[in-house]
Amino acid sequence: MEIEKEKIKHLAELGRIKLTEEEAGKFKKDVEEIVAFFDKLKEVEVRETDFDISSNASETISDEKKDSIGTGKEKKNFMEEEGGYLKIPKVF
Amino acid sequence: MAEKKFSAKEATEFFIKQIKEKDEEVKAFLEVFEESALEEAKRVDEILEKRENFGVLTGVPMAVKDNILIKGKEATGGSKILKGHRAEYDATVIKKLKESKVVFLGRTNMDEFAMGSSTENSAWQVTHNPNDLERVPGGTSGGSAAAVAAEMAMAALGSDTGGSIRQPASFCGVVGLKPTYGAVSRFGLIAAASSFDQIGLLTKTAEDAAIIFSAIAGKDELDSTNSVSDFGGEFEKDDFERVKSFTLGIPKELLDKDGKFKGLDLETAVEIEKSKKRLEDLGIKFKEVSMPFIEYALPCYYIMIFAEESSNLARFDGLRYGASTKENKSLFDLYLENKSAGFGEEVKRRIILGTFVLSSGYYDAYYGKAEKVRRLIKKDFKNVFSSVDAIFMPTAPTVAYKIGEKIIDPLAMYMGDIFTVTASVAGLPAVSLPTEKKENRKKLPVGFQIIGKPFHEGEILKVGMAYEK
Repeated sequence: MEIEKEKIKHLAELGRIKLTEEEAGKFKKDVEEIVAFFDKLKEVEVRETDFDISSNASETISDEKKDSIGTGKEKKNFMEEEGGYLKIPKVF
Repeated sequence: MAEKKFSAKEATEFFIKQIKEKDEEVKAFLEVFEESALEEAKRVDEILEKRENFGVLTGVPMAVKDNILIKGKEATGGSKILKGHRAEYDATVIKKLKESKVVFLGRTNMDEFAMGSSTENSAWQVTHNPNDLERVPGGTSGGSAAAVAAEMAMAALGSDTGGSIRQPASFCGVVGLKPTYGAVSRFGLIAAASSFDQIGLLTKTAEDAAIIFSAIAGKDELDSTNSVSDFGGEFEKDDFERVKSFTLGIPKELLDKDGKFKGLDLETAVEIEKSKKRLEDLGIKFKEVSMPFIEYALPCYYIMIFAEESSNLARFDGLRYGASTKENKSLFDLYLENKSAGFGEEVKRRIILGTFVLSSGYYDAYYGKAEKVRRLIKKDFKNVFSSVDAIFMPTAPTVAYKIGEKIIDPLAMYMGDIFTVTASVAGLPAVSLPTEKKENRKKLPVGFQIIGKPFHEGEILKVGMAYEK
Protein backbone atom coordinates (compact mmCIF):
# COMPACT_ATOMS: atom_id res chain seq x y z
CA MET A 1 0.00 0.00 0.00
CA GLU A 2 1.27 3.45 -0.90
CA ILE A 3 1.20 5.77 2.09
CA GLU A 4 1.76 9.45 1.27
CA LYS A 5 4.58 11.30 3.00
CA GLU A 6 2.05 13.86 4.20
CA LYS A 7 0.05 11.05 5.82
CA ILE A 8 3.18 9.89 7.68
CA LYS A 9 3.73 13.44 8.94
CA HIS A 10 0.09 13.65 10.01
CA LEU A 11 0.24 10.33 11.90
CA ALA A 12 3.40 11.49 13.67
CA GLU A 13 1.77 14.79 14.60
CA LEU A 14 -1.20 12.95 16.11
CA GLY A 15 1.43 11.43 18.41
CA ARG A 16 2.82 14.96 18.96
CA ILE A 17 5.98 14.30 16.98
CA LYS A 18 7.36 16.60 14.29
CA LEU A 19 9.34 14.89 11.54
CA THR A 20 12.00 16.40 9.30
CA GLU A 21 11.58 15.81 5.54
CA GLU A 22 14.37 13.26 5.69
CA GLU A 23 12.78 11.37 8.61
CA ALA A 24 9.37 11.38 6.91
CA GLY A 25 10.93 9.89 3.77
CA LYS A 26 12.66 7.12 5.68
CA PHE A 27 9.62 6.29 7.81
CA LYS A 28 7.43 6.21 4.67
CA LYS A 29 9.54 3.37 3.28
CA ASP A 30 9.63 1.48 6.61
CA VAL A 31 5.92 1.89 7.25
CA GLU A 32 4.97 0.69 3.75
CA GLU A 33 7.13 -2.40 4.15
CA ILE A 34 5.81 -3.20 7.62
CA VAL A 35 2.17 -2.64 6.64
CA ALA A 36 2.69 -5.00 3.66
CA PHE A 37 3.86 -7.59 6.19
CA PHE A 38 0.76 -6.93 8.33
CA ASP A 39 -1.40 -7.68 5.26
CA LYS A 40 -0.64 -11.38 5.79
CA LEU A 41 -3.51 -11.34 8.29
CA LYS A 42 -5.92 -10.77 5.39
CA GLU A 43 -5.49 -14.48 4.58
CA VAL A 44 -7.25 -15.41 7.81
CA GLU A 45 -10.98 -15.83 7.60
CA VAL A 46 -12.60 -15.30 10.96
CA ARG A 47 -16.08 -16.50 11.76
CA GLU A 48 -17.74 -15.26 14.90
CA THR A 49 -18.52 -18.89 15.78
CA ASP A 50 -14.77 -19.48 16.14
CA PHE A 51 -14.81 -18.05 19.61
CA ASP A 52 -15.71 -19.31 23.03
CA ILE A 53 -17.29 -16.73 25.21
CA SER A 54 -14.77 -16.27 27.96
CA SER A 55 -14.64 -13.74 30.71
CA ASN A 56 -11.35 -11.97 31.16
CA ALA A 57 -12.77 -9.18 33.25
CA SER A 58 -10.26 -7.41 35.45
CA GLU A 59 -10.84 -7.38 39.15
CA THR A 60 -11.81 -4.16 40.81
CA ILE A 61 -10.12 -2.60 43.80
CA SER A 62 -12.04 -2.06 47.01
CA ASP A 63 -13.39 1.45 47.39
CA GLU A 64 -11.38 2.65 50.35
CA LYS A 65 -9.46 5.83 50.95
CA LYS A 66 -5.72 5.23 50.77
CA ASP A 67 -2.61 7.37 50.85
CA SER A 68 -1.69 8.64 47.43
CA ILE A 69 1.64 9.82 46.14
CA GLY A 70 0.10 13.24 45.63
CA THR A 71 1.37 16.29 43.86
CA GLY A 72 3.63 17.18 46.78
CA LYS A 73 6.05 14.42 45.93
CA GLU A 74 5.50 14.44 42.20
CA LYS A 75 6.70 18.04 42.03
CA LYS A 76 10.30 16.89 42.38
CA ASN A 77 9.99 15.37 38.92
CA PHE A 78 8.21 18.38 37.45
CA MET A 79 9.85 21.34 35.77
CA GLU A 80 8.10 24.21 37.47
CA GLU A 81 5.62 24.88 40.21
CA GLU A 82 3.93 27.87 41.68
CA GLY A 83 1.93 28.03 44.88
CA GLY A 84 1.60 24.26 45.12
CA TYR A 85 0.47 23.91 41.51
CA LEU A 86 2.38 22.36 38.60
CA LYS A 87 3.09 24.99 35.96
CA ILE A 88 2.75 24.53 32.20
CA PRO A 89 2.29 27.01 29.34
CA LYS A 90 -1.14 28.59 28.88
CA VAL A 91 -3.71 26.27 27.34
CA PHE A 92 -6.34 28.94 26.49
CA MET B 1 25.25 -17.21 53.27
CA ALA B 2 22.99 -18.59 55.99
CA GLU B 3 25.75 -21.09 56.73
CA LYS B 4 28.09 -18.11 57.20
CA LYS B 5 30.54 -19.35 54.58
CA PHE B 6 30.58 -15.80 53.30
CA SER B 7 28.83 -12.61 54.28
CA ALA B 8 26.37 -10.52 52.26
CA LYS B 9 29.03 -7.80 52.21
CA GLU B 10 31.56 -10.18 50.70
CA ALA B 11 29.05 -11.33 48.06
CA THR B 12 28.14 -7.75 47.15
CA GLU B 13 31.78 -6.67 47.06
CA PHE B 14 32.57 -9.62 44.80
CA PHE B 15 29.95 -8.58 42.23
CA ILE B 16 30.89 -4.90 42.40
CA LYS B 17 34.49 -5.91 41.70
CA GLN B 18 33.29 -8.05 38.77
CA ILE B 19 31.35 -5.08 37.39
CA LYS B 20 34.38 -2.80 37.72
CA GLU B 21 36.56 -5.31 35.90
CA LYS B 22 34.18 -6.34 33.13
CA ASP B 23 31.55 -3.71 32.54
CA GLU B 24 33.83 -1.22 30.83
CA GLU B 25 33.73 -3.63 27.88
CA VAL B 26 30.28 -5.23 28.28
CA LYS B 27 28.38 -2.02 29.21
CA ALA B 28 25.48 -3.88 30.81
CA PHE B 29 24.91 -1.39 33.64
CA LEU B 30 23.59 2.15 33.30
CA GLU B 31 24.25 2.81 36.97
CA VAL B 32 25.88 0.82 39.77
CA PHE B 33 24.39 1.37 43.23
CA GLU B 34 27.72 0.79 44.96
CA GLU B 35 27.01 2.81 48.07
CA SER B 36 23.43 1.70 48.71
CA ALA B 37 24.21 -1.95 47.81
CA LEU B 38 26.98 -2.10 50.40
CA GLU B 39 24.71 -0.46 52.98
CA GLU B 40 21.95 -3.00 52.23
CA ALA B 41 24.49 -5.83 52.51
CA LYS B 42 25.64 -4.50 55.87
CA ARG B 43 22.07 -4.54 57.16
CA VAL B 44 21.61 -8.09 55.85
CA ASP B 45 24.73 -9.24 57.70
CA GLU B 46 23.33 -7.80 60.93
CA ILE B 47 20.16 -9.83 60.37
CA LEU B 48 22.16 -12.97 59.61
CA GLU B 49 24.21 -12.40 62.73
CA LYS B 50 21.03 -12.47 64.80
CA ARG B 51 19.88 -15.62 62.90
CA GLU B 52 16.39 -14.27 62.48
CA ASN B 53 14.11 -13.52 59.53
CA PHE B 54 16.35 -14.77 56.83
CA GLY B 55 15.42 -16.78 53.78
CA VAL B 56 16.97 -18.27 50.72
CA LEU B 57 17.21 -14.89 48.96
CA THR B 58 18.61 -12.94 51.93
CA GLY B 59 21.62 -10.97 50.73
CA VAL B 60 21.48 -12.21 47.12
CA PRO B 61 22.86 -9.47 44.83
CA MET B 62 20.60 -8.77 41.85
CA ALA B 63 20.52 -6.34 38.93
CA VAL B 64 17.32 -4.60 37.82
CA LYS B 65 16.24 -3.53 34.33
CA ASP B 66 16.00 0.23 33.87
CA ASN B 67 12.19 0.11 33.46
CA ILE B 68 11.40 -1.24 36.95
CA LEU B 69 11.00 1.37 39.68
CA ILE B 70 13.11 1.39 42.83
CA LYS B 71 12.11 4.22 45.15
CA GLY B 72 14.61 7.08 45.05
CA LYS B 73 16.61 5.64 42.16
CA GLU B 74 16.67 6.94 38.62
CA ALA B 75 14.62 4.91 36.12
CA THR B 76 14.69 6.01 32.47
CA GLY B 77 13.31 3.03 30.54
CA GLY B 78 16.34 3.48 28.29
CA SER B 79 14.97 6.82 27.04
CA LYS B 80 16.25 10.38 26.99
CA ILE B 81 12.73 11.65 27.68
CA LEU B 82 12.97 10.18 31.21
CA LYS B 83 16.48 11.43 31.93
CA GLY B 84 16.65 12.41 35.58
CA HIS B 85 13.35 10.75 36.51
CA ARG B 86 13.54 9.42 40.04
CA ALA B 87 11.04 6.77 41.15
CA GLU B 88 8.56 7.96 43.79
CA TYR B 89 7.68 4.42 44.86
CA ASP B 90 8.81 0.80 44.63
CA ALA B 91 7.44 -1.52 41.98
CA THR B 92 5.60 -4.43 43.64
CA VAL B 93 8.37 -6.85 42.59
CA ILE B 94 10.95 -4.58 44.20
CA LYS B 95 8.86 -4.34 47.37
CA LYS B 96 8.68 -8.13 47.51
CA LEU B 97 12.40 -8.57 46.87
CA LYS B 98 13.18 -5.98 49.53
CA GLU B 99 11.09 -8.06 51.93
CA SER B 100 13.24 -11.05 50.92
CA LYS B 101 16.30 -8.84 51.63
CA VAL B 102 17.77 -8.95 48.16
CA VAL B 103 20.64 -6.49 47.53
CA PHE B 104 20.21 -4.31 44.41
CA LEU B 105 23.47 -3.87 42.51
CA GLY B 106 22.39 -1.46 39.82
CA ARG B 107 20.14 -0.82 36.85
CA THR B 108 20.76 -2.44 33.50
CA ASN B 109 20.62 -1.23 29.93
CA MET B 110 17.65 -1.87 27.64
CA ASP B 111 16.14 -0.85 24.31
CA GLU B 112 14.29 2.43 24.66
CA PHE B 113 10.89 1.71 26.29
CA ALA B 114 11.52 -2.01 25.65
CA MET B 115 11.24 -1.58 21.89
CA GLY B 116 13.75 -3.61 19.93
CA SER B 117 15.50 -6.96 19.98
CA SER B 118 19.17 -6.12 20.45
CA THR B 119 19.51 -3.36 23.12
CA GLU B 120 20.96 -1.17 20.34
CA ASN B 121 17.92 1.12 20.67
CA SER B 122 19.02 2.33 24.11
CA ALA B 123 19.41 6.12 24.26
CA TRP B 124 22.45 5.65 26.50
CA GLN B 125 24.86 2.96 25.33
CA VAL B 126 25.28 -0.23 23.31
CA THR B 127 25.66 -3.38 25.41
CA HIS B 128 28.02 -6.08 24.18
CA ASN B 129 27.49 -9.83 24.38
CA PRO B 130 29.94 -11.20 26.98
CA ASN B 131 30.44 -14.34 24.81
CA ASP B 132 31.64 -12.25 21.87
CA LEU B 133 32.00 -8.51 22.38
CA GLU B 134 31.36 -7.75 18.70
CA ARG B 135 27.86 -9.17 18.99
CA VAL B 136 24.60 -7.93 20.48
CA PRO B 137 23.34 -9.39 23.78
CA GLY B 138 19.79 -9.53 22.40
CA GLY B 139 17.01 -7.40 23.75
CA THR B 140 15.25 -5.71 25.17
CA SER B 141 16.57 -6.98 28.54
CA GLY B 142 20.08 -7.16 27.03
CA GLY B 143 21.77 -5.46 29.98
CA SER B 144 20.22 -7.89 32.47
CA ALA B 145 21.17 -10.95 30.37
CA ALA B 146 24.73 -9.72 29.83
CA ALA B 147 25.12 -8.92 33.55
CA VAL B 148 24.16 -12.47 34.54
CA ALA B 149 26.18 -14.09 31.73
CA ALA B 150 29.34 -12.13 32.69
CA GLU B 151 28.81 -12.99 36.38
CA MET B 152 28.26 -9.35 37.32
CA ALA B 153 25.06 -10.30 39.23
CA MET B 154 23.61 -13.48 40.71
CA ALA B 155 20.40 -12.86 38.80
CA ALA B 156 18.53 -9.99 37.19
CA LEU B 157 15.00 -8.75 36.70
CA GLY B 158 13.87 -8.21 33.14
CA SER B 159 10.60 -7.63 31.34
CA ASP B 160 9.23 -9.57 28.40
CA THR B 161 6.65 -8.26 25.93
CA GLY B 162 7.37 -10.54 22.96
CA GLY B 163 10.63 -12.23 23.88
CA SER B 164 12.60 -9.52 25.69
CA ILE B 165 13.76 -11.90 28.42
CA ARG B 166 13.94 -15.18 26.48
CA GLN B 167 15.80 -13.99 23.37
CA PRO B 168 18.65 -12.23 25.27
CA ALA B 169 18.82 -15.30 27.55
CA SER B 170 19.32 -17.41 24.41
CA PHE B 171 21.92 -15.01 22.94
CA CYS B 172 23.89 -14.73 26.20
CA GLY B 173 23.62 -18.36 27.38
CA VAL B 174 21.53 -17.91 30.54
CA VAL B 175 18.06 -18.99 31.70
CA GLY B 176 15.20 -16.59 30.94
CA LEU B 177 11.70 -16.94 32.40
CA LYS B 178 8.66 -15.08 31.12
CA PRO B 179 5.82 -15.87 33.52
CA THR B 180 2.15 -16.24 32.60
CA TYR B 181 0.47 -12.90 31.92
CA GLY B 182 -0.90 -11.96 35.33
CA ALA B 183 1.46 -14.11 37.41
CA VAL B 184 3.67 -11.21 38.49
CA SER B 185 2.40 -7.72 39.27
CA ARG B 186 3.21 -5.10 36.66
CA PHE B 187 2.78 -2.25 39.14
CA GLY B 188 5.89 -0.06 38.87
CA LEU B 189 6.95 -1.41 35.47
CA ILE B 190 7.22 1.30 32.81
CA ALA B 191 4.63 0.00 30.34
CA ALA B 192 5.40 -1.00 26.77
CA ALA B 193 2.38 -3.03 25.60
CA SER B 194 0.14 -3.55 28.60
CA SER B 195 -1.71 -6.69 27.49
CA PHE B 196 1.62 -8.47 26.84
CA ASP B 197 4.17 -7.12 29.37
CA GLN B 198 5.36 -9.38 32.18
CA ILE B 199 8.24 -8.97 34.60
CA GLY B 200 10.46 -12.04 34.73
CA LEU B 201 13.95 -13.29 35.40
CA LEU B 202 17.38 -13.87 33.96
CA THR B 203 19.34 -16.40 35.99
CA LYS B 204 22.19 -18.90 35.78
CA THR B 205 19.95 -21.91 36.40
CA ALA B 206 16.29 -22.93 36.22
CA GLU B 207 16.40 -23.56 39.97
CA ASP B 208 17.44 -19.94 40.65
CA ALA B 209 14.57 -18.79 38.43
CA ALA B 210 12.13 -20.97 40.39
CA ILE B 211 13.31 -19.58 43.74
CA ILE B 212 13.12 -15.93 42.71
CA PHE B 213 9.87 -16.43 40.78
CA SER B 214 8.23 -17.82 43.93
CA ALA B 215 9.27 -14.63 45.73
CA ILE B 216 7.91 -12.17 43.16
CA ALA B 217 4.74 -13.96 41.96
CA GLY B 218 1.33 -13.60 43.52
CA LYS B 219 -1.65 -11.39 43.94
CA ASP B 220 -1.31 -7.63 44.02
CA GLU B 221 -4.35 -5.41 44.12
CA LEU B 222 -2.37 -2.64 42.42
CA ASP B 223 -2.43 -4.64 39.17
CA SER B 224 -5.98 -5.60 38.21
CA THR B 225 -4.78 -8.18 35.66
CA ASN B 226 -2.77 -10.00 38.32
CA SER B 227 -4.06 -13.35 39.56
CA VAL B 228 -3.35 -15.90 42.23
CA SER B 229 -2.23 -19.50 41.57
CA ASP B 230 -0.08 -22.32 42.91
CA PHE B 231 1.79 -22.42 39.56
CA GLY B 232 1.15 -26.08 38.84
CA GLY B 233 2.09 -27.19 42.35
CA GLU B 234 5.48 -28.48 41.17
CA PHE B 235 7.52 -26.13 43.35
CA GLU B 236 6.58 -28.06 46.47
CA LYS B 237 7.83 -31.38 45.13
CA ASP B 238 11.50 -32.22 44.89
CA ASP B 239 11.27 -35.14 42.45
CA PHE B 240 11.41 -34.95 38.68
CA GLU B 241 9.51 -38.11 37.83
CA ARG B 242 6.34 -36.43 36.66
CA VAL B 243 8.02 -34.00 34.25
CA LYS B 244 10.22 -36.79 32.87
CA SER B 245 7.09 -38.51 31.60
CA PHE B 246 5.91 -35.35 29.84
CA THR B 247 4.97 -35.17 26.19
CA LEU B 248 6.14 -31.96 24.50
CA GLY B 249 4.28 -30.71 21.46
CA ILE B 250 6.00 -29.34 18.37
CA PRO B 251 3.75 -27.27 16.07
CA LYS B 252 4.06 -28.85 12.63
CA GLU B 253 3.41 -25.49 10.99
CA LEU B 254 6.89 -24.45 12.17
CA LEU B 255 8.59 -27.48 10.58
CA ASP B 256 9.95 -28.09 7.09
CA LYS B 257 9.29 -31.26 5.07
CA ASP B 258 12.13 -33.07 6.88
CA GLY B 259 10.55 -32.39 10.26
CA LYS B 260 13.14 -29.76 11.28
CA PHE B 261 12.33 -26.22 12.45
CA LYS B 262 12.16 -23.81 9.50
CA GLY B 263 14.41 -20.81 9.11
CA LEU B 264 17.13 -21.64 11.64
CA ASP B 265 20.80 -20.90 11.11
CA LEU B 266 23.08 -23.93 11.12
CA GLU B 267 24.44 -23.52 14.67
CA THR B 268 20.95 -23.15 16.10
CA ALA B 269 19.57 -26.10 14.11
CA VAL B 270 22.34 -28.41 15.39
CA GLU B 271 21.92 -27.31 19.01
CA ILE B 272 18.12 -27.59 18.93
CA GLU B 273 18.32 -31.19 17.67
CA LYS B 274 20.87 -31.93 20.40
CA SER B 275 18.61 -30.55 23.13
CA LYS B 276 15.67 -32.60 21.79
CA LYS B 277 17.79 -35.73 21.96
CA ARG B 278 18.79 -34.97 25.55
CA LEU B 279 15.21 -34.40 26.59
CA GLU B 280 14.33 -37.74 25.00
CA ASP B 281 17.14 -39.37 26.98
CA LEU B 282 15.42 -38.12 30.13
CA GLY B 283 12.25 -39.96 29.07
CA ILE B 284 10.39 -36.99 27.61
CA LYS B 285 8.41 -37.68 24.45
CA PHE B 286 7.78 -35.38 21.50
CA LYS B 287 4.62 -35.15 19.46
CA GLU B 288 3.84 -33.12 16.35
CA VAL B 289 0.74 -31.04 16.86
CA SER B 290 -1.24 -28.76 14.58
CA MET B 291 -1.61 -25.06 15.34
CA PRO B 292 -3.01 -23.58 12.12
CA PHE B 293 -2.88 -19.96 13.27
CA ILE B 294 0.60 -19.92 14.77
CA GLU B 295 2.15 -18.62 11.54
CA TYR B 296 0.08 -15.44 11.97
CA ALA B 297 1.44 -14.78 15.45
CA LEU B 298 4.16 -12.38 14.29
CA PRO B 299 2.03 -9.85 12.33
CA CYS B 300 -0.74 -10.20 14.95
CA TYR B 301 1.74 -9.45 17.72
CA TYR B 302 3.32 -6.42 16.05
CA ILE B 303 0.01 -4.82 15.11
CA MET B 304 -1.27 -5.14 18.68
CA ILE B 305 1.88 -3.99 20.44
CA PHE B 306 2.33 -0.96 18.16
CA ALA B 307 -1.21 0.08 19.01
CA GLU B 308 -0.68 -0.40 22.75
CA GLU B 309 2.78 1.15 22.77
CA SER B 310 1.76 4.27 20.89
CA SER B 311 -1.15 4.70 23.31
CA ASN B 312 1.07 4.16 26.36
CA LEU B 313 3.66 6.62 25.08
CA ALA B 314 1.13 9.44 24.94
CA ARG B 315 1.70 10.00 28.64
CA PHE B 316 5.31 11.13 28.11
CA ASP B 317 4.49 14.73 27.40
CA GLY B 318 8.00 16.01 27.99
CA LEU B 319 6.78 18.39 30.69
CA ARG B 320 8.64 16.63 33.49
CA TYR B 321 12.14 15.49 34.38
CA GLY B 322 14.38 18.35 33.44
CA ALA B 323 12.39 19.81 30.55
CA SER B 324 11.78 23.52 30.83
CA THR B 325 9.00 25.89 29.87
CA LYS B 326 9.96 28.18 27.06
CA GLU B 327 8.53 31.67 26.94
CA ASN B 328 5.98 32.42 24.24
CA LYS B 329 5.50 28.79 23.29
CA SER B 330 2.12 27.14 23.13
CA LEU B 331 1.57 23.89 24.97
CA PHE B 332 1.18 22.09 21.62
CA ASP B 333 4.53 23.37 20.33
CA LEU B 334 6.18 22.42 23.60
CA TYR B 335 4.86 18.86 23.28
CA LEU B 336 6.13 18.66 19.70
CA GLU B 337 9.54 19.96 20.65
CA ASN B 338 10.07 17.78 23.71
CA LYS B 339 8.68 14.57 22.26
CA SER B 340 10.53 14.94 18.93
CA ALA B 341 13.82 15.44 20.74
CA GLY B 342 13.17 12.96 23.54
CA PHE B 343 12.22 9.83 21.58
CA GLY B 344 14.56 7.70 19.48
CA GLU B 345 13.96 6.41 15.97
CA GLU B 346 12.35 3.03 16.77
CA VAL B 347 9.98 4.65 19.26
CA LYS B 348 8.89 7.22 16.64
CA ARG B 349 8.42 4.48 14.04
CA ARG B 350 6.17 2.56 16.44
CA ILE B 351 4.14 5.64 17.35
CA ILE B 352 3.47 6.23 13.63
CA LEU B 353 2.59 2.58 12.98
CA GLY B 354 0.50 2.27 16.14
CA THR B 355 -1.44 5.40 15.23
CA PHE B 356 -1.90 4.03 11.71
CA VAL B 357 -3.35 0.64 12.75
CA LEU B 358 -5.74 2.38 15.14
CA SER B 359 -6.81 5.11 12.74
CA SER B 360 -10.25 5.34 11.22
CA GLY B 361 -10.47 3.40 7.98
CA TYR B 362 -7.68 1.01 8.94
CA TYR B 363 -8.75 -0.07 12.42
CA ASP B 364 -10.93 -3.00 11.28
CA ALA B 365 -8.39 -4.31 8.78
CA TYR B 366 -5.44 -4.21 11.18
CA TYR B 367 -6.04 -3.82 14.92
CA GLY B 368 -9.54 -5.33 14.88
CA LYS B 369 -8.38 -8.26 12.79
CA ALA B 370 -5.28 -8.82 14.93
CA GLU B 371 -7.42 -8.95 18.05
CA LYS B 372 -9.50 -11.74 16.50
CA VAL B 373 -6.44 -13.64 15.29
CA ARG B 374 -5.02 -13.39 18.80
CA ARG B 375 -8.06 -15.25 20.07
CA LEU B 376 -7.62 -17.92 17.40
CA ILE B 377 -3.99 -18.42 18.45
CA LYS B 378 -5.04 -18.73 22.10
CA LYS B 379 -7.55 -21.32 21.02
CA ASP B 380 -4.83 -23.21 19.09
CA PHE B 381 -2.78 -23.47 22.29
CA LYS B 382 -5.77 -24.50 24.34
CA ASN B 383 -6.58 -27.28 21.88
CA VAL B 384 -3.05 -28.74 21.86
CA PHE B 385 -2.73 -28.63 25.65
CA SER B 386 -5.40 -31.32 25.79
CA SER B 387 -2.92 -33.78 24.26
CA VAL B 388 0.53 -32.47 25.34
CA ASP B 389 1.97 -31.12 28.61
CA ALA B 390 3.98 -28.26 27.13
CA ILE B 391 5.32 -27.00 23.78
CA PHE B 392 8.90 -27.17 22.57
CA MET B 393 10.51 -24.79 20.07
CA PRO B 394 13.70 -22.77 19.57
CA THR B 395 13.93 -19.40 21.33
CA ALA B 396 15.45 -17.50 18.41
CA PRO B 397 16.12 -18.53 14.80
CA THR B 398 19.77 -17.44 14.99
CA VAL B 399 22.67 -17.02 17.39
CA ALA B 400 23.59 -13.47 18.48
CA TYR B 401 24.31 -11.30 15.44
CA LYS B 402 26.93 -8.58 15.03
CA ILE B 403 26.33 -5.13 16.46
CA GLY B 404 24.96 -2.93 13.64
CA GLU B 405 24.01 -5.89 11.45
CA LYS B 406 20.21 -5.62 11.71
CA ILE B 407 19.55 -2.21 13.18
CA ILE B 408 19.17 -0.63 9.71
CA ASP B 409 16.35 -3.02 8.76
CA PRO B 410 13.51 -2.94 11.32
CA LEU B 411 11.45 -5.65 9.61
CA ALA B 412 14.40 -8.08 9.62
CA MET B 413 14.81 -7.39 13.34
CA TYR B 414 11.11 -8.11 13.97
CA MET B 415 11.38 -11.46 12.14
CA GLY B 416 13.82 -12.70 14.79
CA ASP B 417 10.94 -12.75 17.30
CA ILE B 418 9.01 -15.42 15.40
CA PHE B 419 9.27 -18.10 18.10
CA THR B 420 9.01 -15.96 21.22
CA VAL B 421 5.89 -13.97 20.28
CA THR B 422 3.70 -17.09 20.19
CA ALA B 423 3.66 -17.49 23.99
CA SER B 424 3.28 -13.71 24.38
CA VAL B 425 0.22 -13.49 22.16
CA ALA B 426 -1.39 -16.29 24.19
CA GLY B 427 -0.16 -14.94 27.57
CA LEU B 428 1.52 -18.25 28.43
CA PRO B 429 4.58 -18.93 30.61
CA ALA B 430 7.76 -19.77 28.71
CA VAL B 431 11.34 -20.42 29.66
CA SER B 432 14.46 -20.24 27.49
CA LEU B 433 17.17 -22.66 28.54
CA PRO B 434 20.74 -22.85 27.21
CA THR B 435 21.24 -26.05 25.18
CA GLU B 436 24.71 -26.42 26.66
CA LYS B 437 26.42 -25.44 29.90
CA LYS B 438 28.97 -22.64 29.60
CA GLU B 439 31.94 -24.87 30.41
CA ASN B 440 31.01 -27.33 27.61
CA ARG B 441 30.23 -24.68 25.02
CA LYS B 442 32.52 -24.33 22.02
CA LYS B 443 30.51 -21.81 20.03
CA LEU B 444 27.96 -19.07 20.70
CA PRO B 445 25.10 -19.98 23.04
CA VAL B 446 21.74 -21.21 21.75
CA GLY B 447 18.52 -21.47 23.74
CA PHE B 448 15.46 -23.66 23.44
CA GLN B 449 12.05 -22.77 24.70
CA ILE B 450 9.46 -24.64 26.74
CA ILE B 451 6.00 -23.06 26.71
CA GLY B 452 3.67 -24.19 29.47
CA LYS B 453 -0.01 -24.15 30.28
CA PRO B 454 -1.28 -20.96 31.95
CA PHE B 455 0.14 -20.63 35.48
CA HIS B 456 2.22 -23.82 35.15
CA GLU B 457 5.60 -22.17 35.69
CA GLY B 458 6.48 -24.96 38.10
CA GLU B 459 6.32 -27.56 35.35
CA ILE B 460 8.39 -25.79 32.72
CA LEU B 461 11.07 -24.87 35.28
CA LYS B 462 11.13 -28.47 36.49
CA VAL B 463 11.80 -29.60 32.89
CA GLY B 464 14.66 -27.07 32.91
CA MET B 465 16.05 -28.38 36.19
CA ALA B 466 15.88 -31.97 34.93
CA TYR B 467 17.69 -30.90 31.74
CA GLU B 468 20.43 -29.11 33.68
CA LYS B 469 21.22 -32.19 35.77
